Amino acid sequence: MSKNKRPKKSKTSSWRTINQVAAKRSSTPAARRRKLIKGLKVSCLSLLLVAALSFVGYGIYGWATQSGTIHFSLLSQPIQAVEFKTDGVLSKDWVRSKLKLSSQSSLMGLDIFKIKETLESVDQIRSAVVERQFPDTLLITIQEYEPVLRVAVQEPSSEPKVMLVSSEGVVYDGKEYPLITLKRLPYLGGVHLERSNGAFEPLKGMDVVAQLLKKARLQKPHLYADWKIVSCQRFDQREEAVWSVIKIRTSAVGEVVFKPQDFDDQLDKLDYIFRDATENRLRIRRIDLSLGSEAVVQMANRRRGQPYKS
Amino acid sequence: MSSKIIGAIELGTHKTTVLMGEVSHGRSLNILGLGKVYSQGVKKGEVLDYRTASEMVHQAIVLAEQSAGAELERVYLAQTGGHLKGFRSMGSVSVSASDNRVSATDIKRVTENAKSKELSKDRVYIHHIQNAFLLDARECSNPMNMQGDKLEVAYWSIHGDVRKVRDPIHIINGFGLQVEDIILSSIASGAIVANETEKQNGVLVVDIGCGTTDYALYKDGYIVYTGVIPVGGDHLTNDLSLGLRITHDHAERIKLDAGKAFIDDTDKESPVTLTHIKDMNTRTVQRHAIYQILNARVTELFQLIRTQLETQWDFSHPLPGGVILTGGTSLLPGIESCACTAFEQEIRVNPIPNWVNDSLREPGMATALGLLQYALGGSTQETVSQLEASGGLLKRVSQIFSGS
Repeated sequence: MSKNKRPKKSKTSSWRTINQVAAKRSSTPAARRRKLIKGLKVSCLSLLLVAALSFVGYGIYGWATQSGTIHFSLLSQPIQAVEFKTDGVLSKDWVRSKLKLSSQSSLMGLDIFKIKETLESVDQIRSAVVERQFPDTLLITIQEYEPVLRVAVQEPSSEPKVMLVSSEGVVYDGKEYPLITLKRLPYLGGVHLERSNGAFEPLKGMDVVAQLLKKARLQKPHLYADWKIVSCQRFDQREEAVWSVIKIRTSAVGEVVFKPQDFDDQLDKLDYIFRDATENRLRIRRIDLSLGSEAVVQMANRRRGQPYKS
Repeated sequence: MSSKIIGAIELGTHKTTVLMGEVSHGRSLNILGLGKVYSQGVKKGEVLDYRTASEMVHQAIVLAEQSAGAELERVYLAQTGGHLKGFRSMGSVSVSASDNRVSATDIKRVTENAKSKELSKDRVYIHHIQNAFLLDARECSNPMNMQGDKLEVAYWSIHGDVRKVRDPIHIINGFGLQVEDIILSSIASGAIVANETEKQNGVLVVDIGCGTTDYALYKDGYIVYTGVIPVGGDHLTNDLSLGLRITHDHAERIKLDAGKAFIDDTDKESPVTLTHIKDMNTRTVQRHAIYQILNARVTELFQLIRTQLETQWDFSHPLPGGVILTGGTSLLPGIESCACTAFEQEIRVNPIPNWVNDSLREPGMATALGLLQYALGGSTQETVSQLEASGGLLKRVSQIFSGS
């Protein structure tokens, strides 16, 4: 069997097959000098490239890390107005003096987070919102605690002073309140105040007491106006504390005892007893409304413990 | 890249030339700098002393770079020497398509067929220069899509001794440069001294250097024959030295100062006085003797060329483009008339184009200038060659000299 062998494709050699390599024997001083200069150039260019890349990288890093505090220097102008809103009694002047804002302060130069922190460090302030209103106005909105009671505080290292108690039980040093407002507030007694982190611990159960006082102020203002001291000595906010009572010291009646529920009913009874006593010109020393359907009235000119019946 | 710095390097027996130029957008050439040193360690295009030749070439490159104020990027090298040989090879294929239209595959097959001749291990091809295609014996420059049965193409292939080709390349590599292309000295010179019309009509370019004489015959726009004769200006000096029994230096001085390639009857009787520097002795030499020696050697040289070319051209008929003489030895007075007698053709000496700076328009610069011209032509053909079936060196060389 004959095989058709394909002729081998001839491979002709061109001068291009000569390996172009720089042999050591070819090197001359001129060639070495040129290679050295070329090497130095390449090194310098590489260094420049690395430096440029580092510079760009550092720039990107700086931009990325400082993007939270971008300074808009062109937009920064001195504050022309401070707008102030509150649901309480603090004034714009008090805020300015507290924050030490000057007319030269620039809007972008202010640290509004620090301002908020400063304001909220005041016991009387429940929360504060600080806003920049471009181009030149600072807006401060605060919410204050509403006082429901006064409390006299005597600490060993300081003079006795009167503080205020909010419905949340927060004890604070009231500022800017009109004197008449403060005078209308009954004193709180029979509580134990404890300090923590420079402030008094909130009092528990004050919401219940505040509810009584609010109802009295709104529904029976003539009664409330006579309330001088609210004693929580025998008050316990827990539901299982059946013995818990709130005692009110008044100038006209003497002592009124409330149970911490059904304030409307108790206030109605109190109002009835008070009117009846006024009409009959009776002097009452103590009214105990905590006994349910009955109220125990202790007359000043009757025997102690006699039930009041009308 | 819109521009590139290229260098033309010619390692001659007398001098080494490095010419730098800038090719812009592949269209224009701006000559930037020149480095020229007297050669050592090189003779007749061959490296005899590698280290000395390296130092000389590197020095010339440094001078050129300093002159140009730029660094070389690509190098084109002129190649000469008696080891270079050429032969004509024919490729022939049958057109493969059923409608007998020549396709790109046919062209590729026929060119590969023509170039397929294997050389001995110690030889490498320098150029494959394509000549015209023949389609059913009809001559055509581009047979694509033409109808015919038999497609043929001729190549003039030039090859050299691998060791002698390798040495100059490695010398350049030693400077940290790569050789982009090697071009035969005669082809490089022809690129600058002969225009496209002359090449089309037929012209013989003879570059007479110090150690060798390179020549190239153009016909119908193609290079049909090239040759290298290891005889040059140095041999004239040697002949004078031997014939007149004077030192080589004296012979060189006589050749340059009083040499003529023809016997000038007007002053042939006047003597030339030589003074020996060592002992201050003087000696007179008759000009007639000088002329006779030079004329004999030059005539012999031209006769050698004519003999080699007679297979390609009948010199009894005029060569329309005539004979162009270039190279340093073409400055010898009377060489023109000597060539005229030998070739029986119109002779011109060193017709370098006018766009070349006056300081570079000397015959000894023709090869270097031609290398730059070649590089420019090569770069302009890059895009074209990619689209053609046959590209690369073949296309570049053929298109430069075909004028297409």
